[in-house]
Amino acid sequence: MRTRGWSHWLYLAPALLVLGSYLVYPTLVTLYLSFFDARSAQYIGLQNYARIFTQEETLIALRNNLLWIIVVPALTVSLGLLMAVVFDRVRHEALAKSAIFLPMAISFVGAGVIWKFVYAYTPPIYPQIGILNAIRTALGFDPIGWLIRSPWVNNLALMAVFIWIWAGYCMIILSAAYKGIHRDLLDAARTDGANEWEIFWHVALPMLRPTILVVATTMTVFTLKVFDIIYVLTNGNFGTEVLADRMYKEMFHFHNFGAASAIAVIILLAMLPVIVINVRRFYAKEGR
Amino acid sequence: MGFESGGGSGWPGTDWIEDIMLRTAGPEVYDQWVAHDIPWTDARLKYAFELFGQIARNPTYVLGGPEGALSINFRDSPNGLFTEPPGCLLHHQASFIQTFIQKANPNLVPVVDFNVFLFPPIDPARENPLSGGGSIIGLFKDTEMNRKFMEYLASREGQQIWVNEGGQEPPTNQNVNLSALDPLSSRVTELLRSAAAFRFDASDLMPAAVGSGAFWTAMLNYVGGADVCTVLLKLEEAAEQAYTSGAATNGVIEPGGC
Repeated sequence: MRTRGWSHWLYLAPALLVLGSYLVYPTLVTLYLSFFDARSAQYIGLQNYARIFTQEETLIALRNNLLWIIVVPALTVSLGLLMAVVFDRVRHEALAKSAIFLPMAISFVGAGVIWKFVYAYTPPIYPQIGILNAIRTALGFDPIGWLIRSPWVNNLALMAVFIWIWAGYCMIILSAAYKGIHRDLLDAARTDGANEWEIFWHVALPMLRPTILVVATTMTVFTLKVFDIIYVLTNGNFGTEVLADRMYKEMFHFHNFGAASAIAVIILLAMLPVIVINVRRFYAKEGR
Repeated sequence: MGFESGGGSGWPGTDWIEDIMLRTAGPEVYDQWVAHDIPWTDARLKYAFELFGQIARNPTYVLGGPEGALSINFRDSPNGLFTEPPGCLLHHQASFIQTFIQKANPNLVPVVDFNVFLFPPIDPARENPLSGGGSIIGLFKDTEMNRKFMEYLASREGQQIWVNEGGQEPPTNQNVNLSALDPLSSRVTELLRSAAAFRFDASDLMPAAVGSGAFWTAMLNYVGGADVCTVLLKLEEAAEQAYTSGAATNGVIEPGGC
């Protein structure tokens, strides 16, 4: 049906107004400011972007973002899947799931503070207050600066916090999907002589594929936006900075509106493909 | 040493470089450094970093070594002075640290259990200046009344009230009676009054991208083992971007001592 006139605009107006003023307008202004200098006074073309791809700090941030996207969604989703399947077979399933899901209820800054204690370092002559270094010293090793050692120890230590928070979320969603698989199907495979391992790989996993894809893209988007954990634990020092933290520093510490806006645009562009995949899947599901 | 300070990690190191610069290069060069009239790669700055590195990067001088200095929060770092056996014997910090020392060790008596002395001279040919921060009072509306009020705040009378009411910041007015100050703050004030020269904290005077950005990161990287010239060239690059004035600001990175 095709409507003529303007009445449909009336229905669209509230949504357009909100989207326009809170999404489209700020995005366009950010894009505009990214072509200007620190004080937004002078047009400098693509210099802010050139800086992102030549300056050591932002190159490290880009590298770390890439590292996060490779490691974190893969680990959160596979750990979530593992727990969803394993907990399906244990007696106190609800209890086990609640324990894993609980970190979701903690704010990222709170989680950062908790893990700062986990990674705490005190000189070897004093008792260790951080559990990891306490274990190390109990085993006869020297304590190490978990958040200092670059690039692997500290970056993986930060990713562990993110995984600790989000694996539970992946588990809950994947668990629901797993329970949605008809038991008859699994039983049929069993009758046909498949072992549990084969059932998982050849029956359950293919059926979970759409859910895994949605969870994985969601995790990728969240990973790209990671900020709080790094801000609290290392403030991006010792080679742990990601783009979002760099953007915050440029904006609120150095008051460089141009550089901060350019980084914001880069993050947005990096996010686009993931969003497109998500929207496409959504349409495919809707059957359009 | 403790350089961890959340979003401000690295700043305790800048105070070291400032104290060393004042004692090895002198207040005039210090001012040129703040104004970026000399580049970060200047031989005098390189010397200051290296002198600092001889202490900070030596695991036998610093509790926990560089990894300890980078991990430990600045508030906790003096606590090694008061353990049995002591983890360290000396601590370099601004006078405000007294609050943290007494909070963590409530039984200590200032002057009796811990005391303060001015960072010693390095170059015997130079006098011993003092560096520090301070409260700054600004004026948004320039009226006769506001000016009078500012003058009052700077006067002996105004600052005496401050001190008598428990303010422990060393008063800048030379005539304020110090009897109401605690003995340690009073000693710090006397050091301030008798200092050969006073300079405001350099990193606090620099553009934020340098003074509270690149300089902090540089201290962390240098303590962590980075090469002095790599660190200084990086600082100079940041300064070229951030400064709008200064004789060394010309878009060209001068190799200087590097």
